[in-house]
Amino acid sequence: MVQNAHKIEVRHLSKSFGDTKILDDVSFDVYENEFLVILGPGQCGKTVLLNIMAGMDTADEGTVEFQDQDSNMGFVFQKYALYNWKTVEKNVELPLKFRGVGKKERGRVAKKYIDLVGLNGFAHSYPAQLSGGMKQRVGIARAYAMGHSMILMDEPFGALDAQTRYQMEDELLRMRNTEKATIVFVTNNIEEAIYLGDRILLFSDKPSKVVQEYIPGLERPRNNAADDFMSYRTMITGQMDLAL
Amino acid sequence: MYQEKERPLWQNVLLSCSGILVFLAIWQCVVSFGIVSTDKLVAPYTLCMTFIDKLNNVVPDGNTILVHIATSLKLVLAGFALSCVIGVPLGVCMGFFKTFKALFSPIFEIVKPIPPLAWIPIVIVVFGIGMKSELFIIFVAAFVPCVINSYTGIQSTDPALLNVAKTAGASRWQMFFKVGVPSALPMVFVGIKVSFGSAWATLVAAEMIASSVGLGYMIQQGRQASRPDIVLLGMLVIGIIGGVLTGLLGLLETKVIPWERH
Amino acid sequence: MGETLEMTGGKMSRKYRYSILSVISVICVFGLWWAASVWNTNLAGPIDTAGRFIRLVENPIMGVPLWMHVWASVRRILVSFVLACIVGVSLGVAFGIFPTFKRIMWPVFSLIRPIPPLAWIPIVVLWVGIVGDTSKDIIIFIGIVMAIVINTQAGIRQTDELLLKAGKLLGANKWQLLIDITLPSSIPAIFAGMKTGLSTGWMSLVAAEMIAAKEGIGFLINQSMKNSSDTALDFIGIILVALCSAAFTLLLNAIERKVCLWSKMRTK
Repeated sequence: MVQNAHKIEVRHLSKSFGDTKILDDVSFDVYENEFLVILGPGQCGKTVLLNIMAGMDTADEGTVEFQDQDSNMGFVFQKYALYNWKTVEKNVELPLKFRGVGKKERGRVAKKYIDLVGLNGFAHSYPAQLSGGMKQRVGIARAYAMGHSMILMDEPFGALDAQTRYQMEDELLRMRNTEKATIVFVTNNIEEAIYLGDRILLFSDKPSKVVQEYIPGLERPRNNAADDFMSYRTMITGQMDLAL
Repeated sequence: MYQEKERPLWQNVLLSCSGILVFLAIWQCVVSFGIVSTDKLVAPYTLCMTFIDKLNNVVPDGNTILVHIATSLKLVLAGFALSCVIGVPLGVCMGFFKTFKALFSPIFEIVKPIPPLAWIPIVIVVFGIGMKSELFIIFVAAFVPCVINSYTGIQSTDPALLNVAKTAGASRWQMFFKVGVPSALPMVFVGIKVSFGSAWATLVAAEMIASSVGLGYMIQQGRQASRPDIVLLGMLVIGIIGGVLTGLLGLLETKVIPWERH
Repeated sequence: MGETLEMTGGKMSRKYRYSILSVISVICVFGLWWAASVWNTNLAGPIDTAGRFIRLVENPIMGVPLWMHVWASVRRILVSFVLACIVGVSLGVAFGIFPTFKRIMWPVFSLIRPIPPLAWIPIVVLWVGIVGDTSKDIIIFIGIVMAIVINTQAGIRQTDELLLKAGKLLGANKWQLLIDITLPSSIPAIFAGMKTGLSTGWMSLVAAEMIAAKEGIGFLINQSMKNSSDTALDFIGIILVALCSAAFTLLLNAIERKVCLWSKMRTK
């Protein structure tokens, strides 16, 4: 895998809430256009890490530096965070509206990403009319509209049933191939991590730190029933048990 | 995001008091400096004097303030208690058993939008002027919110909980008492609090229209006698009693429903 | 919900049974009314009331036609309601988004709130007199505005934190958060406040008109009290109020559906 330029540099990040230390001296790089997976057990602080990277929270120590100071970041939430009173189109447009982008341009960009995520025809539907998978597609379209070259995802498929989850994983890869972007993807699901990631960072339980880095060199499209996939999975599972 | 920022206790107390104190100060000044004439508004400290005076003085309405308060309280509590005792079970049954609903719902829907006071002339014809009529009107006023909220409360019982009971072999009545009623209690209490407010408001109005004793009558007489101090005093007492009793209901709620966040 | 519990058979016959019960109970209400009027000869029955209605239209009380009374009441409610919405929502929003403001002003509000609108009648009449709409409008206004402030304030306070957080992330400034996120998500609560306020408003209207007015539905009801064998007039007044109040509620519901069509939708 080609090492691209650093996109984000995370250095010595630490964070505590009261007496509990959540993040402990976390350092890693994010490279341009890679699909980076942050894997760790539940409640270990992965969401906090992502929030700090997105600017929604501040670290006690350490820095997050962006190669591209002005770039915007998209964010996908596990619970969708869609606005029920707005149509799909208006939801996707919203970050642009806040930024002051004109109506015509907003509409164009929104349409582009609604088509990308496979929801054309649903632009005027309301979130209440959509299934979980469709809602998250809206979330992804909105994230693309927000920060088209960098997207952070916080366990985006955690609330979906297994079938939809597999489908969305494939869809995400397809979207990423059509519209290149750097993706930082948080999950606690090992299979999902191996299926999606160009690179996987395994985190320990809190106080969380990077325990191991994996680069599954498996060919795409990956097959989660294949032997090499399974052995990779066994290896990571073992490491994860140790880390807990 | 709209949460208050952290402040030491003394600051919070200060802020809470400041609004009231400024309000009272402005009120006092407006009267003392003659901005509003004393036949329209009366200063706070004058009200205190009026209160003390009215503890013994029967002018201009024929009773001391304590008698008025006692009469009003007796009536409102009686009407309120009656409406709870009848309204809550009715609402809860209407919500749970379709037969009940089919039987009582039309009557209820017809009665619901009618302001209780509109019944006064008819009620007087049937019961005559006096306590019974007032009691009936208060009952009607308090009854409606009790039923509505009890009905809503039991309607929102989690079907999953009912199914658990059913598979455990519970009969319909058991499901009603053990699952439906407890889960409806929060809404029932909302209804009871609204119902009390309604009862109290209606009482005051009923006393103004068709009574010769009670706080409502007192303030109406105050107006007739051009005594704004009596009127304002009455309003304040009505407000304070209403607030205190509603607060007590809230306290009762925390005892009866300890499992809810209050 | 009762369907999970009813164990009688036949869905069609069940529905039939319930509708028939409802119809029977409405008939019973009329029956009871008629029976009561026979038992107490001072009380007008349904037929007497209908007759009184016709006579009222032909021979208006003091020359004022019936529709003018209805219009007087409706006009007062309308004016007060609109005013109460404007003031109530503004105040409720202020209480909701400025917690410090709430802390200072809430005690004053809590002191005034428990005073029933009707208890204000004597002092308001002392201040602005009986003549004209102003005194009635103020009383109705007080009743409606309380409910709206409380509900609006509650609606704002319970805005979903996740939605606000997402909004901030999407790049919204404080003003945009308020207009695009907080207010729309509070609309159901605001409508609930409006409906509660409206029902309090009707009660205040009838009472205020009974005590201190020369026209209006409440005035008619008061008239029926003066002439104690005119209970039919009271019934007419009651029916008119019920109809008007129901009309307003239906209108409000229709507006709410239009504004909030998103909240009535279901998953495909």
